[in-house]
Amino acid sequence: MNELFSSISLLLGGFSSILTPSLLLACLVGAIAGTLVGVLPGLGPSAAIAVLLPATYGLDPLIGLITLAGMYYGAMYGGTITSVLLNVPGESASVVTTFDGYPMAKAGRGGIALGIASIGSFIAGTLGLILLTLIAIPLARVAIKFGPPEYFAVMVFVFAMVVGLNNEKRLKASLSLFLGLLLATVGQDVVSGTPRLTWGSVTLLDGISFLPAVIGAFGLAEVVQNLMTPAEFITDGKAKIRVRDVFPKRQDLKDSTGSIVRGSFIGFLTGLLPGGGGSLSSFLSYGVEKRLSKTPELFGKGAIQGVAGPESANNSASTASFVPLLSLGIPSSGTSAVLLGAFVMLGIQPGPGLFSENPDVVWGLIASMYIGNVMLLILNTAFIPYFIWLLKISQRTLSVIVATLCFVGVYSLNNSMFDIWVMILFTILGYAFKVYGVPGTPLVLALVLGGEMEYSLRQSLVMSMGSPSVFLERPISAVLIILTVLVIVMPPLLARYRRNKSSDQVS
Amino acid sequence: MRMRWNHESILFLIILAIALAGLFGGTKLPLTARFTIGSGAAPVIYAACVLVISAVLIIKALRNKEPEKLIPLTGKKGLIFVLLCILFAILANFLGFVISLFIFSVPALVYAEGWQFKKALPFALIWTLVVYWFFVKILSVPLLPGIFFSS
Repeated sequence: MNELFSSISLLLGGFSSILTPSLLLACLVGAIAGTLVGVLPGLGPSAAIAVLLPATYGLDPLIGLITLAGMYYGAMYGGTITSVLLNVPGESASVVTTFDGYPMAKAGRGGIALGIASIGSFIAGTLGLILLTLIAIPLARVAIKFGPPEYFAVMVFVFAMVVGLNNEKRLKASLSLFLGLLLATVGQDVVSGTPRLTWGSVTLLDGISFLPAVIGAFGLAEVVQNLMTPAEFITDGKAKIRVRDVFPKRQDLKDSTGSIVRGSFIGFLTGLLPGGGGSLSSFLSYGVEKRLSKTPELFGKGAIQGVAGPESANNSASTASFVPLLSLGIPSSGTSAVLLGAFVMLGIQPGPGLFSENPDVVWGLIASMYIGNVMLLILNTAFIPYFIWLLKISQRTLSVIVATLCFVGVYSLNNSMFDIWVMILFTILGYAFKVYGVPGTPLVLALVLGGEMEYSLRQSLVMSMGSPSVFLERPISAVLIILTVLVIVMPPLLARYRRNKSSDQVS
Repeated sequence: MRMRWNHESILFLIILAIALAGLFGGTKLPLTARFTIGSGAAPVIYAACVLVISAVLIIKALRNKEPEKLIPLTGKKGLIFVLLCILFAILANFLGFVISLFIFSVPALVYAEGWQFKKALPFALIWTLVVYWFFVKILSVPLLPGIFFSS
């Protein structure tokens, strides 16, 4: 109970510290930029955060973090607009919203779909924040006891989950993961100082920076994909929305309340899982809503629950992904990996010590997310027509604008053209990955965590005088290793069992 | 069974080549150290995993009887865009960041986005000036000056 009161009082402290014009402006800028990122199909939140990260150099860390975090959860709101009105998901978590959102728009109920999505996103975002406020400190208290074996076990578990959750593409996800781990070893070895895989290049001694890689693989590669296969927008006038169309009626609210609450909790739980994230949560929520519905036949034809549940879930998931990031310093998705990079670049080290060493930053950030959610609710109800207008005028300039920001952003990281070449190489690789269905997230997570994981392994082995049993002798790492084994072994066994069962039924 | 090289198998072949390079580089380093693994162990383990997985994926891609998912080059817009990015990276060292950006923007607008040249030219100029003003003047980002502006 004491912990609860302490969290609440720290949160109130966070609120009082961010109620300044500059921090509120940072929150608004992040929210607007995030909505735009969500609206524009050529740019995902991870790439946008990476691209705009250099613009936060020299700023107060809290201002930078509030802006970048606002972009993350703001993108989840913005993605709905194009999904509903144009049948084009602005980002991957909004794909599910097209199933019922677009049919609603065709039936002249696009405004209602957007309104209910905004309200659902607001409720889910706020519920997610309350849960984040409640569990972040207890989790950080547990994590502060972590030593190298626990950290190694957590990272192995994260990788196993990220690969394991790619059901159909487990082999390709493994390839992406190990390629990322291999690339993360390039550079000077942190323990012995020996150059590794540098082939005599002095530039490679610093290793492959992950931001140029992320910006290439997620940002420019998306632009190339859009140029190769441009999204087809409808131009039949259905995209026209007036502000008064956005407010849902009482019956719509009544029909959606259960879906919003369920979506919030599903989203939060999946957002905590490594590799879970917005897309998985929205698909899960859609499945649950369809199963629970008395009229499942309406799903896919404009069921409001098919919009309310998934939209709430993806917002809640984006909030939940801050829990492992802030408490453990472990990113659970590609976007939170980029945010981790942002924290480090702004001089803040996420992890168990964050809550005691930088309470003003962490609680200011959490408080800003509450305020950002209110701003986004207003932005995404009252300003939808303007975002549609911006989408239309930006369509034919997007590639040049994004490329310019990528060039400047990547160059300014180290004032090095080498980073631009790294970005271009990862653009080509990222595009090829997209075409052949190789997931990019494991590669990025491996690039971020690979070095740290190897270092933890080597430290753990030194601690135990070379005995690998150290991972099974400590309870937390033992549990995590067992979970990792289950995540790797169970899916193929279950698939085999199902195959055998179905073949038995046939014979 | 007849097998034919396709784009997908070539992608995994390139990754396999990277793995071979990693394996070769890793084996030159010590694999063990006192009580722990050596600096070469991680590259060797990861490269071996990449090698095995990419080999399996190459075989799968070669055996795949479904019509190949070709990288759509018909529009060529994306390819032109990538080539322009490469051109930018080459030119920036000589002409500087800002001039190269202008040179990149005009053909990118014309060939990748379908603008008319007479409209692309002023837009690219304004855009380049905005970038220069914001990043160099406001944020003091030291962009490459190039041969014309280096002191």
